[in-house]
Amino acid sequence: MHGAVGEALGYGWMRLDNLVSRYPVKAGFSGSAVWSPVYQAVIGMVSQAHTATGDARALSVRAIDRLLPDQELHHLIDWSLEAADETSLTSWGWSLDTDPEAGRHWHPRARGVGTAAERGFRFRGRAAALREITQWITAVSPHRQALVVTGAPGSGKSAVLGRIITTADREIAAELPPGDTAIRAPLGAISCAVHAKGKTALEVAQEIARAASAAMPKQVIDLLPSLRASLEARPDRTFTLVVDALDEAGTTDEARAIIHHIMVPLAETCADLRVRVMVGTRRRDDAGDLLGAFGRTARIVDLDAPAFTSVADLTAYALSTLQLQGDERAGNPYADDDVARPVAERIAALADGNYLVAGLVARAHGMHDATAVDPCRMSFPVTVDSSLREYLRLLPDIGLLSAEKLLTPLAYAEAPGLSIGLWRTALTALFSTAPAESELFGFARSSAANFLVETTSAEDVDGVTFRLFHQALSDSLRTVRADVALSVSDERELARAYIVVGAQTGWAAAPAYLLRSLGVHAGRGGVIDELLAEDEYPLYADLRRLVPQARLAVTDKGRQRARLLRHTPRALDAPAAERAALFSVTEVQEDLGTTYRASEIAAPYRAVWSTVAPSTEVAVLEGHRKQVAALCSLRSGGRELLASVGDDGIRLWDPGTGDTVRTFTKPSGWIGALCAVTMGGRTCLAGAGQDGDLRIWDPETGAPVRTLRGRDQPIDQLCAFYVEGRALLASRGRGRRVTVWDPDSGAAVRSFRARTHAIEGMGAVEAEGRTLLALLTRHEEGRCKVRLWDPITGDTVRAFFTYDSPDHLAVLHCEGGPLLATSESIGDHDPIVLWDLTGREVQVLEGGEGTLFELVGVRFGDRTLLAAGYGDDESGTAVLWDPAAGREIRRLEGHDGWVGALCTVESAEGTLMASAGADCTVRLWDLDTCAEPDQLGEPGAWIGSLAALEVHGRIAVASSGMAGKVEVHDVADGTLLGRIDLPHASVTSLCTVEISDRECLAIASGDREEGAIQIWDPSTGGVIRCLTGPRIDTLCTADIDGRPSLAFATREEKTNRVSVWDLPTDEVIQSISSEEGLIRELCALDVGGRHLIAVLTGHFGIWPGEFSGGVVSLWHPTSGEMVDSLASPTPSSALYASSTPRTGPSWLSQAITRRTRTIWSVQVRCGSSIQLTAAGLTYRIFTMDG
Amino acid sequence: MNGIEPVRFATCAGMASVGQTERSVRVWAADDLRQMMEIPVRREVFSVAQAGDHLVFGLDNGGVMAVRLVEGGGRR
Repeated sequence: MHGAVGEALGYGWMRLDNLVSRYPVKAGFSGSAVWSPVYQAVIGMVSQAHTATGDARALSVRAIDRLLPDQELHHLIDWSLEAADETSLTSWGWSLDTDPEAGRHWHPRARGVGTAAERGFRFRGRAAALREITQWITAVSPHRQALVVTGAPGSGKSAVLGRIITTADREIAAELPPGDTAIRAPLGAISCAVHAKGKTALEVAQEIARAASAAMPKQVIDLLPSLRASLEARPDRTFTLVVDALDEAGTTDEARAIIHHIMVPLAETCADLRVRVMVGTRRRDDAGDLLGAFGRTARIVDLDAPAFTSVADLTAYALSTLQLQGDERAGNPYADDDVARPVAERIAALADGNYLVAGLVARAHGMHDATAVDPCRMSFPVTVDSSLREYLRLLPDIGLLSAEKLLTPLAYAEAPGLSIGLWRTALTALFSTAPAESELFGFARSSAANFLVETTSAEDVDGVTFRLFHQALSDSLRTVRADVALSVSDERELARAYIVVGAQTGWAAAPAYLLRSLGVHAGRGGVIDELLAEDEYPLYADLRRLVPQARLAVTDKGRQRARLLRHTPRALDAPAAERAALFSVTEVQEDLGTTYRASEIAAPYRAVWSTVAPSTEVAVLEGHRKQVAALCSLRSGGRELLASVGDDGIRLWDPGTGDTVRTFTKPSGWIGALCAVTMGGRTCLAGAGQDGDLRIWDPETGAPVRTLRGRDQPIDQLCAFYVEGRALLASRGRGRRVTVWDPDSGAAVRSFRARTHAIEGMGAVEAEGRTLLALLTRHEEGRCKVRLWDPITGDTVRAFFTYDSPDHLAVLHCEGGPLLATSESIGDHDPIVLWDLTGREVQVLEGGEGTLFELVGVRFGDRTLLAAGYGDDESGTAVLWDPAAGREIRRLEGHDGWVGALCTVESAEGTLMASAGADCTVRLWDLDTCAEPDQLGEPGAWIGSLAALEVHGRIAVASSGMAGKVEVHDVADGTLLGRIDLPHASVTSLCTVEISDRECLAIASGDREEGAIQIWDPSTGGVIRCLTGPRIDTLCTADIDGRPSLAFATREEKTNRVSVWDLPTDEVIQSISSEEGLIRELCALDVGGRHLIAVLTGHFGIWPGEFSGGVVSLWHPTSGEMVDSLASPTPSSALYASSTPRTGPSWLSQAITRRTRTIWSVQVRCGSSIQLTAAGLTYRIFTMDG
Repeated sequence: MNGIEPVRFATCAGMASVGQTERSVRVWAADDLRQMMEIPVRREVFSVAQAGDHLVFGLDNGGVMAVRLVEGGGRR
């Protein structure tokens, strides 16, 4: 099993985090070795399994040595890499014979065969390319460029690089046949070869570091300094790096990260250390151009270019393949060079430079011809399709299945390929029959088929897997198949068959291939609903692949399941049990059925019911712990991402899955503005804020790319725009300055400084055939002016005064011409005025409610809308208007605080609105599906008080959420058991109290001046007692000499006292009078049989809910005598207190601070006297990111 | 943070804390304040109470949600 070394636990123990949930560490694993692939060594021993999580604890080798000294393990651990000599260090690095890719990739490609099992040395050609490469390798002064070997599929890129790598190896070179006179690399010329297929940039970086005996990078950007340090210590050595199959890296993002953070920096900055970089790649991948990503650093060897295309090369390759050199066939008519050469020449001529086509044709003739073909009569189309079809036609059938049919499932297979079992399943699905496993295995390993079929390692989770070795072969087979069956039909049959396999096996034990790729097959086959109907599949599946496919669901249940997945982004990385719990929460809140709340699947908890209304958002993205100040969308790695910044850092989100793609740290001080900016043809992320500097990050790695030193701090807004194709960036600061920057050079191009007052807003606008910046400037007596300013010449082209004192400006790129929108922040329903560029008022829109925090123009398809964010600390709204119609079209409710950031982002669902602000969430909205403004109901209040009680033998809970009412629900199923009407709208506190052996509910309600405590008897459903008086804010049960009582207090200076209502006597005792501040919370405490009241006091701050200070004190309820008190160690915090008399006197209360999120534990010591002492520790609550 | 509440399930005593911005409920061991469980609630949480083997959360917009802890347990 695979995992990661987690936290150090002390005394030589370490935690092992099981990353593959299917194979948890179980009891019985004790004594197993912990192997580090990084160090290629055993580093510890598994000692304890954590059965609930599948994690484990292990002892380090050093700890074992301490415990088992007789084993003398210290001999192993006394040695360190630093102690190794140069020879040892060299052997520590890369060598072909220890490279796991040697057999899978380098050897067969270099020999011109399909797989390692196939014998022979057939690669002969590409002399010009090989010459170019060897000259590159042997150049005295390395170039500050990367040599990029590229070409069409089948052109032989890997063969060329494989030839270089293998012939540089002393042992391989010695084994080459005598007739092999083709160009070879100098012996020992290659220092490191990486097959990038399926790998991340970090994995590639670590392979390179290992080869150079450099410190292992924890991030990709660590490689460069680490490599330099290692190579500087050995200046006499060259370091030649080859990276092949760059276009097949794990993701398109990873491919670009490899280019930008490994290949290009190494080539450009490490030439002085004799570093040479070579890359093999297609020109493009799914995300677009790859060669362009190298910029001027690339020196291209294009195998399709005439300079590198030689008929002689191809002829040599065709000749060796015709002769099946290395794996000769008896009776092969082409054994004689004189016979074979004309045929090879003809094949080479017809193949038009394509090695894959030449190989297929030559191999077919070499394997099957009894007599040599007449080259003059040879004719074949130059396509992989036709060549492959002919090649397969000559292979023997197995049972009823031709070779073409046998290989068809592999053409549909996703990486890393099909196990033999799934291959058979797929054959049965497509052709209603399949050979026995042994027959199919024999076919895959046959000389003819293994030219086409790549076999992965048996170490794969699914065992040995098979797939076609070249994408061009997959494309070709699918093209051929299209003649008889639609691709969608095949995918449907495959998906259905795979679903049956998974369901029969049980999804918990299903082949990893199905958990990873079945969603893709089901999506392509139009049967995603059938897969989503499998309740357990989402618990184990790769949700990052499943969620985008789930949007294709068409049935009600399928759509419901898709919505469930979309609304549970936390499930992406969660193990199955936790997913079940998370899904149950989403299910009850979004009214999405009962599958996971009712299932028997193991889960740590299970949501059972909820009264919340389903949300109207597409998704709520959680992860920020501080309010979000800015959003922007940007393209990275071929997909649209959403960037957000809060005081806790910058996050990049995949809007399609809700996944956090990347987080990166920001500088100290806040960042208040983000935007996407083009630098060197790449999209980067720019941010600015408190310190006035503009920082530009690479979104693919999070690494800082450039810092533009600003003169104006802080910066409130950034804006990217183009002038005559040149990308520029403008910043607006509070120092009355707008600065225009060239992000490529880092230079400030021009700036505008207002003379006396602030610049309130900025936006780029096209006018009079040029790009201008619209600036909103404040002037005397609060008047504001809109100025159209040329960012190149610095001229003010036009200006006009606005009404009132707007402090927000937005640019709307409308079909009929650009408009400017202005509005003020403060005041409900402040109008938004739309202006044309001449200063003519075009439209007045009625504003939203609350303070305006953001005003921005957005595009939805061909529509331009105006979006605004409003709110306060409690709630926030985004409002959208159609400026053409002059009306509000959407009101997006749901944020629990002001909305201060808005933008649009493209996803699989189309254009989505993104909003963020005070509540730390980023929300995505689909304007086509969310509610119209008049469809929204009145929201209820937040529920600040709950109380559990028994109602007619059922456990129930009372809640305070509705104005003037308390609702009582059956806790088992949420049934409403009662609704209690109150004299006042606001319910401030609930608790239970025992009266005449009956448990009753005490309810404090009030308004600004008056309050009441009602006692509700659940047995009768009526209110049996009521106490009226001034407002009551907090309430708890108390005990006065065995008599049930209620202690209550008001958070108000005039009545800052705890009173006790003695229920049997109906007497109210003015009890505790604290001089430590206002009373915040009360709770009763039983300390060794003494019934006390714990009181938390402090001072309210100026912000809503803020409470500073914090003293916990213990009191006798009747005498009003204070027993002891203790001040909180965090005096500037809001505090809440609670206690549990039933757990005994050992602890009293905890206080939670609002800002630092700590729990403060106060302990009660009960001896001859009662004392409060801090428990000695302040515990930090880690938020979801730990 | 909006509140804390003592909880007891089976033999395990602890307390539940509810967070506004983190939109989660966390259950801590009473003795060493070790976090035993996190329940992401997807909404701001303002209050928590134990009722039998359920934890009930007071949310925004008048919402209440109940979860059952699978271990089962004692105090009401």
